[in-house]
Amino acid sequence: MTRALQIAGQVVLYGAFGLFLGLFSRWPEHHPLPPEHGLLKLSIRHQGERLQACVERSLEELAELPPNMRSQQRCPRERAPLQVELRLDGELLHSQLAHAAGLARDGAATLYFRLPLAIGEHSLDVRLEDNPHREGFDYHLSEQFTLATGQVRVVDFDAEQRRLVLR
Amino acid sequence: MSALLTWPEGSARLWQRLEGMLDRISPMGCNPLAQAGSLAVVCFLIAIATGIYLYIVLDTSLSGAWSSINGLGAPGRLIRSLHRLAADGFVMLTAVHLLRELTLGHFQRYRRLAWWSGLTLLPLLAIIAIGGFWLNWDQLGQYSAWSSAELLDWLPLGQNAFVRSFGAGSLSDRLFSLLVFIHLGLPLLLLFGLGLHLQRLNRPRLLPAPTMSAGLLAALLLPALLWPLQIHPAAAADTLATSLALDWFVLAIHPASEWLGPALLWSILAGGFLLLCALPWLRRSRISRPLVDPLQCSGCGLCVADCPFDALTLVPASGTGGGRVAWLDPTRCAGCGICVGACPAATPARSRRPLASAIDLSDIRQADLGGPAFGIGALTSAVEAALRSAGAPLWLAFSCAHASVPSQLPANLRHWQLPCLGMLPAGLLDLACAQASGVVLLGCGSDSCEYRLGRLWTDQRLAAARPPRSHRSPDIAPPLQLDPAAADEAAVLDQLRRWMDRSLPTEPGI
Repeated sequence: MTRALQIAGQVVLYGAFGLFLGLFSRWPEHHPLPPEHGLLKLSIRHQGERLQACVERSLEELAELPPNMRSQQRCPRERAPLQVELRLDGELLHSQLAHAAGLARDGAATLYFRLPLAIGEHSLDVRLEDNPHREGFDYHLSEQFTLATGQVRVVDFDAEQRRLVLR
Repeated sequence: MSALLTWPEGSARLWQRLEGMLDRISPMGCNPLAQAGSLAVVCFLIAIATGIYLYIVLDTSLSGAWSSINGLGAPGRLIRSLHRLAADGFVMLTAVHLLRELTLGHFQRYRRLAWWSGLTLLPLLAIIAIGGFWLNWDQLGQYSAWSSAELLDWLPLGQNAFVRSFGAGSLSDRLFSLLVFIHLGLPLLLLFGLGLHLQRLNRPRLLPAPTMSAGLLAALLLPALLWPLQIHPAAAADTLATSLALDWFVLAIHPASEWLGPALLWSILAGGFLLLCALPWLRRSRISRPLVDPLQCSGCGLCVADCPFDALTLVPASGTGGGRVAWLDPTRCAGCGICVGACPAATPARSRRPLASAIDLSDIRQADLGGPAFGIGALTSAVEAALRSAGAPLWLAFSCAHASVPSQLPANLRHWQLPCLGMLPAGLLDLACAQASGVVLLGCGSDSCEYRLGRLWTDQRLAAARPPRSHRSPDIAPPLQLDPAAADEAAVLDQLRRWMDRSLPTEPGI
């Protein structure tokens, strides 16, 4: 093969490589959501109540402890799991039990769920239970909302106000 | 399992054919398929150079990142396009390099370190490449960050910590600075890993020929100039873009996660990775290793310099005052025999008979007769005997065991097969060229030597540019070098027959 043909072949080869890179670095377009859909997320990180209440130590128990560890109360660390239910337009779409994090189950539990949702008006009903000593759910969010195309709404737990919120 | 153990044979031939076709338009040593790894390094260097500029102009805060990139002028946008395309090229060429080494079965014992270290670099490359998209904090970066977080949180690592980190109100300047640090710091780790990847190679080719680098740069500039990258709108916590100009080379993992689900995707990724890691154990082949004869070895070090895998070193010889002899590390030896071709004691110009090389490998076969394998001394004797006894014109062929040699060669072509043509001493080729009607070397392509350096060393020895040098007289034709993989069998045979016709000895006086 002549030198000229070799050079022409390489120009074609490298040019095709460049165009291939350029093309697939932007095309075809990707649609993360179906047409005319938004996204509803449930994303909660929250510490459940302690499973056992703190107990007072007796004088004998305190005497057995080293002086620097003599606290009046003994509080078991394990936290209750979170139970959540999400209903949309009256239909139960998600139910999840999340255990507390950590080897001693003393951390926060997290819940996550995503749902692409057709745009328009919806009624949302979310219930969260974090205390096994009480009957029923402890927190409740009921809200009508309108979802626009590409809009993301997130159900979260506001730790300061101790309530479920739709952001 | 049996298919797994035998698969590379057919696919290797296919790949050799592909490389052979590209050899036709590539100058010596410039085959882009064979050099995909070093071309990927060029992309990496371009990404580093353009990345330094982008780091200077990038506001590394959550609120300022997008506007700092959106405000770039035309030169800045060109540099950003080049940065992205270099990253894409790096990913694609790395994939080609991996596919090549996999197809050719380059994960054997002596290549284990390169194979495993290369595989380890893949997740690192993915983290660097994907994380780079987040630094603009545009809608594409936000989608990638959210999708990556959901994928990572499927693993039992941190209780949805990743998803929460990118949620509304959670993303802070501090986390953003950490992402910038990861995108800048991990490439340093990649460079370190690259050093490990090449550690057991003699004369590793980190960078391709300058013309190839220039061609690659031009190839990246072409789309960067034609279609400069557009930044997506700024990310907003309450919006997910409905249409994204996705970079499929780097971000294809996100749609894959949506289509397959995190469980199946992680299973495929982890299963594929573990299978690739286990290949050196799953597929083993017998390797014949050379033997060093300390009594013949002069300690010249030519074999040490020529060994492609750094398997030879010089050690003090026992019983000799200060002398050194070659020592072979069997765990690194590929059994290519290139050291035999480098040994000055292997030349037939030596008066000693039978010839005794200081290092020899008994893995040569007479292709048309079969029988047991033999070493370089026996090959020299066989060539000398064939030349002495030839009544009619005689042609000699030496082929590489990895070349696709036609099954039926012309009858008056005496054919020996060696593990690599680099095993042939230049002196033996001089003798053959001087006394036979013609000599043909059927080997790998100019850039596709199975043992990396065999073809190069052979060419350099024949051109008297590397010891042990050829001393062929200028009026004697050099051996014909053919790459059978570059064409089909009939074309190779046709080429051989035409060459034999041309090199027929002419009758005196005609």
